[in-house]
Amino acid sequence: MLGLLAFAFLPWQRSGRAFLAGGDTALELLPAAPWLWVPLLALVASLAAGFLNRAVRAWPALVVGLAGFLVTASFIVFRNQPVDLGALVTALSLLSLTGMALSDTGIIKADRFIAGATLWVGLFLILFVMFPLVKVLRTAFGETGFSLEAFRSVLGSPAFFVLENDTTPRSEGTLALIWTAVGALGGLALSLWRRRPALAVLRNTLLAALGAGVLASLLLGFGALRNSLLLSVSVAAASTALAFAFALLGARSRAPFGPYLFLPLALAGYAVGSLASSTPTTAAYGLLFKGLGVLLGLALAGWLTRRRVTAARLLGVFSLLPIITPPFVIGFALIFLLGRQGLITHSILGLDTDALLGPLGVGIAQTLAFTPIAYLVLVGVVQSLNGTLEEAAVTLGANRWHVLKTVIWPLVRPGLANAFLLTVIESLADFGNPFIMGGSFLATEVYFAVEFNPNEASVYGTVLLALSITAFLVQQAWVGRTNFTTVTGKPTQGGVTPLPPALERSLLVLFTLWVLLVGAVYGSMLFGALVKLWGFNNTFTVEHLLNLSSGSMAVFLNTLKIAAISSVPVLLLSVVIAFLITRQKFFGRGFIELGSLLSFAVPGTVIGIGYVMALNSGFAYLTGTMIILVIAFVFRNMPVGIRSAVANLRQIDPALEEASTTLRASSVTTLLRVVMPLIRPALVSALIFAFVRAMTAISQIIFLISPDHKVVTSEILSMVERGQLGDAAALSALLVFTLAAVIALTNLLVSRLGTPVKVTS
Amino acid sequence: MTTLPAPRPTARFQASQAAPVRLEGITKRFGRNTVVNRVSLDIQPGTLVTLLGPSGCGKTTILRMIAGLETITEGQLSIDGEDVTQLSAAQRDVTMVFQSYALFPHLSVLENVAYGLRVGRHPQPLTAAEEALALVGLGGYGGRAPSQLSGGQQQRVALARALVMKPKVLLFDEPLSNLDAKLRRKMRNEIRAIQQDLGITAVYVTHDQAEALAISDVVVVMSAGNIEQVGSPEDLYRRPANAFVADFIGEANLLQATYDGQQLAFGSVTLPYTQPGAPTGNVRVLVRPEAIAFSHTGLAGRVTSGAYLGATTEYTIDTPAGEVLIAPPSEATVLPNGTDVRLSFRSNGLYILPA
Ligand SMILES: Nc1ncnc2c1ncn2[C@@H]1O[C@H](COP(=O)(O)OP(=O)(O)O)[C@@H](O)[C@H]1O
Ligand SMILES: [Mg+2]
Repeated sequence: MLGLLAFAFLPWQRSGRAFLAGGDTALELLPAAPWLWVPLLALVASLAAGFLNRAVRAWPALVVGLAGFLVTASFIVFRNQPVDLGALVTALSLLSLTGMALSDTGIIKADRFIAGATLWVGLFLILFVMFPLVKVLRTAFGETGFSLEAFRSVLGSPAFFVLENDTTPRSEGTLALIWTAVGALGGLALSLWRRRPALAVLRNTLLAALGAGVLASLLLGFGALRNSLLLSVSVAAASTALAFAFALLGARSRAPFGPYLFLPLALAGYAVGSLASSTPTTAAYGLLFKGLGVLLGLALAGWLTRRRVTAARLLGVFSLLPIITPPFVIGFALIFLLGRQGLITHSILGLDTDALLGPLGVGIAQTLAFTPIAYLVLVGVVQSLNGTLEEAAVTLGANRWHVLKTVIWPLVRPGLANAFLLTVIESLADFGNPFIMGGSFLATEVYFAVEFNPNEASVYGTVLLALSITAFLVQQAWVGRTNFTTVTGKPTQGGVTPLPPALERSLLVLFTLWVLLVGAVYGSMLFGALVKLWGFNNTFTVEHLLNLSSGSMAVFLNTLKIAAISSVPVLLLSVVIAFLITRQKFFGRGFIELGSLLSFAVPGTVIGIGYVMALNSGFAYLTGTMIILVIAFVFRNMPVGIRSAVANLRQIDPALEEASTTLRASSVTTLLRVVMPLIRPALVSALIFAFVRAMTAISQIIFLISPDHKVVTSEILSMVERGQLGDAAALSALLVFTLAAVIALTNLLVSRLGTPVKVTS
Repeated sequence: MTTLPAPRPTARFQASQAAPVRLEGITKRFGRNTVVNRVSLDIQPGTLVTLLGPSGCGKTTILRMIAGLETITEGQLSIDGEDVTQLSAAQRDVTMVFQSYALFPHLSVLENVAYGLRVGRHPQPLTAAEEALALVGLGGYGGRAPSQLSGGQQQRVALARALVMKPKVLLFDEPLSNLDAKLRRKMRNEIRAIQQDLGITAVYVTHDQAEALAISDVVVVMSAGNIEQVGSPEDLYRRPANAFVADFIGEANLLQATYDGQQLAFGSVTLPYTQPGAPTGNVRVLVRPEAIAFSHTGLAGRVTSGAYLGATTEYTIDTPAGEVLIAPPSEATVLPNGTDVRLSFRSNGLYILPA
């Protein structure tokens, strides 16, 4: 019905970018395009069939729906004109008809809603996940016929990877060979010494040789591949180690953290004081302000000590930071700390260098940005350790160090691997930090190549994709299954075994340093926004804030709008897909599950070029519109939504839905009346999360923005590029504070909604 | 312990016409694993049929296939003469009381009961739901949240929610397993009373043989996906089809004996006994503990253990015919191990198992 109306009255195709701007309707096209008769007849027939008995019309409806849809789809593809709503609605109506008919004929053993939803979801996944990726691969392998030409030229280029550096006197190749040999010998010696069987000896020797060779190439070589790999591995190692330390604190430490905060808070007070006294005043006033600031800081620390605030409380807040902060904003704030005029490099150490800003800076920024993500994975693992296990070990006479070694360590090892691999994926995909700090990395090479050499960009993209997916598959195969339940599971009952005091103290000191660093990063962002020019002229000013309202406020509001619009489909799709995956058995479930899981591992940069290449012409001409931004956000954030919805559904007793079914409710009714209300708090969180992620995204979006549709992250990036650090800081601060406020409000709302619903009756 | 069920307005609350259910060669496979193997069963309208068997034998799976929650791999299921094998759960006139009750936690008690009526666009869902609540003795509880009720009350809400749909068949999956022993006895009497009052066809799953005997018109004993025996509670207890059924229902002593058509001989001890159709020669005889007593003559044996249980004392006794468990009323002292005793049998407590 709707389809027919759309067919007749909505424009079928667009002449330009805008939708509904008066393209020809299908009826107008009809004389010139005989194929359009098929969908028209199909729609009329299905309308007429509405009067027939379900069992009678099932098979004809299937044929009509399928034929109609296929003809419409092929017509759209072959005509290659940008589609408008008319074509879309027609195609989707026919697809729904097919789904219903598939259910009625019993080919799909599910009700009409499930069958239709499956087809829709499948179509979306193909269009907006598979199609762009295939496009990237096709571009990489030559658009006309299979060719490895682009690959050969990129992989052979020194920008990608080179071991031999002609400017150094040593020969890196030989060195790497020596390393390999040493590795082989080491492996051989070790496994012989441990008296392993011959096959194991061989395997260990080869593995050791390979490891040493790769390590040598990473350390000695050059090029984007080497840089990206080295970066991601070191960042992942650092983040995982730090996060594990903090997770132990978060789950186990009950000591008050206040005493450790005297120094940081005093420093913060001093900094605020000096900002307040930066406008020309007498030296006496300056001293007064600084003294006051320090005193206030100390008082705050004293108060926190009195309240016996633990590190765990603070960690909760810290783990939220990366969610509301685009990773590159941390990199950008590091300029204030480590740049030529940086607080640490210049003011404290008296250096005049920005050497810390290159690849090293990227590493520091990523470690700061991703440690909290690893923390979120690990704190769940440490918390879910069964306290009674450790108690058992203690009663068997093990001391605490021994417990740590023999009980905790083996249990958290999969969690550590998981955190490590997730961080590797994040680091590989990070575009903003390398972009700001410079250095040649895979993600940035894609960006720089995309305009003048799409083939090269695709090859870089393909390599990046391959690396991420490898890491992802390893993660899934190794820890995917086990991890799911432990991370979402509630902390198990049982006493908390305290940490050994010496360990606890050193971890707390470590955490203090971390607090100092993170505080400095966010503080410098604020200060950068409030002083004339960081490092050169530290006088207080509201100039940057005023600049905000004149220029970038519009972009900010526009981004809010796009993010808000996109979060709704994310929610709907996530719930429906999660429902399909967890509760329905049907043909194609594996495909949907794989599709939605895989998009986790696809770096944003790759999605970005995929969209640019796939949706830039022909029937799917979308670049330069707002819609492409919305679609990009939707399919980027959907996997996260699916994951959280799946986790929530797994906690609901399936018997509730079965009870609904035996009371004659269809699956839509069950979804709306039972499932959705039960996971409502989770839905709100997922909605907000999708919104926040859309606000902070950069890597996929940088390719898709157009002068009319900019987003706040790209605006910050270009400000940094133009050297308007103060304005960039102000905009970043606005973004971070808005998102923090949004999250705080949500938490309030969710707790008001009454989270403690007992879901298993 | 007897509890009178709450007064019920049964006259106003009519279940729909009781329907027969017919399972023909029903098989269920999960992958290569056959969980239910060619089960055929005729369920008469208005009866309560219990599926009884050890955990994992496929009872729940059969129940879920009747409800439509699992697809049927092979075979045919008809309800009220209509083949429903291909129908989905929502299309069948069958409701179910779940083991976990599965009450919707976000709805009030009344809304829980009215849920199915609302889905089916009943003209007066709340009135009908009130009536159903009154039927299970929970009139006036409608405004509460399910979590504010006790386990037994939650169970009644689940029952009311299933009854209010006036199903052709009502299914119970171990409905009492989450209740304590006393409440369980009370609830099973109430379920039975309501089922008989409304004359509804019910299929009931349990692994508790006492519950099955107490509540059922017909009991179906299952093991490993197969039906072992179908019969009335008394049939199963007195005339089990095989050793599995004999052992599963009540306490069973299986003794070796010889039978010649008139006499049963446990070694040297003989007693007159006739059982038409029973095999002769070396046979296995089921002797229920209550059919054995200590006496001065009879089968000789020696006490190997004794346990004081209050009203009775349970002894195991080694005899030439096999190990025997008996539970006579407690005496002043428990016989010590090694005591020589003699046992006599009541002939109406014996049953020769089919060969
Ligand atoms: N969805 C399923 N997938 C695979 N095996 C199942 C599934 N449901 C039940 N089973 C298996 O079928 C057998 C019978 O289960 P069930 O009918 O629940 O037993 P009962 O109710 O008699 O305890 C069990 O071995 C169980 O593991
Ligand atoms: Mg069961």
